Amino acid sequence: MTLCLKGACVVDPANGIDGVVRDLYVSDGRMVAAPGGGEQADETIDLAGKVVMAGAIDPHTHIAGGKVTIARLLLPELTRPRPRASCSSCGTDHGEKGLSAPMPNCIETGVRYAEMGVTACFEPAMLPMNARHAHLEMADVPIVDKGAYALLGNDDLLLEMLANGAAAGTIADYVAWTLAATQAIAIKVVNPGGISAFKFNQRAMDLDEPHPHYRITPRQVLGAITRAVHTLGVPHPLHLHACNLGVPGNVETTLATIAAAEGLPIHLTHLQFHSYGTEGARKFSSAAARIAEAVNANPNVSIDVGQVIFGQTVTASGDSMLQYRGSRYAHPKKSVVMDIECDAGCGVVPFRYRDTDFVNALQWAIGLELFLLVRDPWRVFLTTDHPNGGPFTSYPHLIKLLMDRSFRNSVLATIHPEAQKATVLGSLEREYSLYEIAIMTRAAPAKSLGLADHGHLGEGALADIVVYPEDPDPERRFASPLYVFKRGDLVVRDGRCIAMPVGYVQTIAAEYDRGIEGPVAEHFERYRTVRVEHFAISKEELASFSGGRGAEVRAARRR
Amino acid sequence: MKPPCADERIRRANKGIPRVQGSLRPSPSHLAREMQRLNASGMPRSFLVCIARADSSAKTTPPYISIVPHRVVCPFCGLACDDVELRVAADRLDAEVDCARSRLRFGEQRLLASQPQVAGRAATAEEALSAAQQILDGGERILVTGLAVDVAGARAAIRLAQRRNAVLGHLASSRALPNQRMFERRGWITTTYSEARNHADCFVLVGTDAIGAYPRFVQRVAAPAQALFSSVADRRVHYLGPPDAALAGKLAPLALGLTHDAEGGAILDALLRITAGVRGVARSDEASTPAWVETLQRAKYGVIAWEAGRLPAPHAELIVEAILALIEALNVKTRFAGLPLVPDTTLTTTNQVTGWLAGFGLPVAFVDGVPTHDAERFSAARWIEAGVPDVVVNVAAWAGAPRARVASAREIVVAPALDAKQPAPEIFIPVAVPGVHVRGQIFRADGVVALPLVPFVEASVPSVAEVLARLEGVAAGSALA
Repeated sequence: MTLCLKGACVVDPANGIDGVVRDLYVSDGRMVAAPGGGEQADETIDLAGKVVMAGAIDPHTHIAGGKVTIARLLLPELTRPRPRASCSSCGTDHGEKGLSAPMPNCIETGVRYAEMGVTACFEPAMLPMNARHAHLEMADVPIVDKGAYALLGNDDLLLEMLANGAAAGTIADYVAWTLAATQAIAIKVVNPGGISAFKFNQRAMDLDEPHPHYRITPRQVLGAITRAVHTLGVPHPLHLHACNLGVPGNVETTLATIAAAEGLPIHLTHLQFHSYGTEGARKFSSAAARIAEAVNANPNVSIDVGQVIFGQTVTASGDSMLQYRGSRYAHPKKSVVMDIECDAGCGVVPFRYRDTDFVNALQWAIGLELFLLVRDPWRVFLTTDHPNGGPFTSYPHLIKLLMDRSFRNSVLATIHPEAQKATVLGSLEREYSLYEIAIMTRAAPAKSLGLADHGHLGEGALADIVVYPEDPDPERRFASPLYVFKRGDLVVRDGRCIAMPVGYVQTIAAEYDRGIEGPVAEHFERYRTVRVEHFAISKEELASFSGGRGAEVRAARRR
Repeated sequence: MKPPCADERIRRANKGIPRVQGSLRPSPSHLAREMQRLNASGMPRSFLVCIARADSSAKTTPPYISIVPHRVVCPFCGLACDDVELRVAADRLDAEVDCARSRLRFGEQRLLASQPQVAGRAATAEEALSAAQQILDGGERILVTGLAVDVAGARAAIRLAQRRNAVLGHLASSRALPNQRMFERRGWITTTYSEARNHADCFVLVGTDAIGAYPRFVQRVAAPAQALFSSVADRRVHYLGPPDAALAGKLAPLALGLTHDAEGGAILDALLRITAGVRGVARSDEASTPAWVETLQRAKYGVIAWEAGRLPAPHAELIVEAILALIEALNVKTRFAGLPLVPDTTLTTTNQVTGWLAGFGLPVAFVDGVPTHDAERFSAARWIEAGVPDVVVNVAAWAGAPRARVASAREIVVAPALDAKQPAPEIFIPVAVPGVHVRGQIFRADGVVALPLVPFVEASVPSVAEVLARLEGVAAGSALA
């Protein structure tokens, strides 16, 4: 069965196409060439010049796993029936009832993402000991393709190996083994060594501060893992949540962290939370300009912003050290902090960002400054670090802030007056073009994650297609696509989900010497409360979570 | 039709399990080659080959060989130990583990399936399913409970409750209700078993000897053979609860430190005084607490454990809250964490699954397909006590799980087997057991680790999920699709 999308105004930066009107053809879930010899497609939809992009990709969103469900269980009182907006075509409320919550359930997550034209989402902090849970949850997230980054750098096994001076090849073997055992697509490090240090009663951790027990520094930890990820040929660089998240003055840590990568590819996540100075009477200021300058000057660095959105949300993070510190600001006044399985930790702190609060207002401005000051849209990804900065449903609003300067300034004029003075945002004239938005939300994350068939509309690509309505308001436009196709199946019409197929898990397989299994099994045997064979997830087991459908695996070639 | 003889039934039950080819009494080298073949095929690495015989009555029956996973997960308490060795003995499972509860519960599981029943008499599966559907079609206040199930069973129970606009509640939830209430009210700081095992230099047991909840608490968590960061010999366990002369013996080789005998409200009082001492707030009647205050503040990594279901009502919630306040106060200067002991993996499992599918924990009431959470209004225990439901669906994936009994309600039981000592329900639909007949997963009670349940016997009845899917009937409004 072939489908023709006639008269599509294609915006496909991965293939260098910026607003060319042409016909697109879909067959068997993939983009195909136009059928030759005057053959007609089985079905044709005349788009009459509407903008068409590939499905968007969110490379950093907390959608599955222990801390995500803790956030759900912690805030039942904030779960409310979601009013469904009327259909823009006929004015009636087609849809089924949903629930809105700071941390929505799995079904809501998949549906709301698809309704915005996002067709792939990645859980950025999967604790290896929690991997089975994360994958079970991901199996219940409908429609979108998904995957997860395995969290390392606070696990006692690795810290011990580093402290004992293990060879780089051994570290690489362990990292690759972890990718396989947890069925991950990339490697994440959160507050390297810091989550572990908190278990030893250390309350802060600087880049060059030795761990209280292992005596190695965060710089050494992140350096070793960055190198390992690079050696293994994993497409996505080390995904790093740096030290000192949220701490005023952390700009110095962030700049030093960029230097610590020593030119190797590195991805700094939710960089907004790491871009603070200590200037001014309140000892809290924006350091976005210095950070952006460093990112611009270092082509090995990619970032995602972690934009703050005003309103009630919940912060869920592996960084138990900093979440414990932040729990005094919880709103509502409750929080969960956990030390987890000689692996890592987590902290869940509900939070409300207020535009009348100087710090929150400036955080909002800092995120936007980063977006506007980092020049290369191929190296900056659009995120709110859902839900830590704000819910993913605010992406259309965020896109409007980036594309419409007068709208941005009108919102700026409503925030805390001193925050307005403390930011250069009002003077930044840049407006993102549609092409740049497409790079940032599709082409770039697909490339960064090594997803060759996602994020573009060339022949052979997956038929994850989004058709946007004509609308001068980017927020309305991006909130309510006319059509969303997932692998050729129509799943959303007029911003409303009409079908819920199951997406595919994306994983990476890296090469490793099986000799690593012996020391790992021994460590588990001696110190853990789970046997290593019950920890690792086989391909068959993972497939059983989705009714027999396995993950889509890409192979990484060791350098 | 004559029922098949014992060895025929067992042979059928063993159909599809990998067998050692050829000889019935394989030589060690033959076994080794077979193990290699199985390992190369990608099956789990460690295997225990056990040789079992059929009933002794069938003297000519040859022994058969079944390959059982080397070590299996025990789902019968919140520790979820995964080092249990199983032997297959005719229709039964013999667990080799130093835990009486595990041996008892595994011993209750049967390899061979039970027969469906309608009104106490044998029926076909279709008859039972059809009769159950009719009962549910007529139900107005349906309670789906029991819920001694794994992840797949929990998912299916949620869908069934949604389709039928039922209330979904775990029968044992009152055991953990104080925890759920305090968690929702103020959150908490907790740890997990491996952390406690390696870090803790100080344990505090409140109102429990820990062994009652987790029989292997000492060898698996508190006093393991090896620990990474703190010496087991230097660890102390301090006890605050009803007098227990046998405590030192129960917890050996973990050394007993401070003990404070207290019952009921006195436990709460002691906790409050200790917390006040830790926070530096002056109190008049100090008695034993300065020793506690000083001891706890000297700890490097303290673990406070309690079993909510064993705390004295009506003080249970306040005691849990006081424990959490103490943990909070101690974390200002040192590291302490809670370890709530929950003697039931299925409570944690069903709560996690409901959390991620509905967006909050149990109990959940579905109204017009939309889930609502209200632990007071929809408490399964209160509904049962007040005789509210007109239909009760008792769901269990393991034999030996308790059943909710409501005199005025029609009862459907979906479980591997019936307890012969209890009156038969109106409908009984037998199901396969996860970790025996079908794949599954359960969560340990410390909430993070989900463990695989690997089957080794072919199922001859459907799984809980398959049966519950058949009971869904016509779809109601579906927020959870």
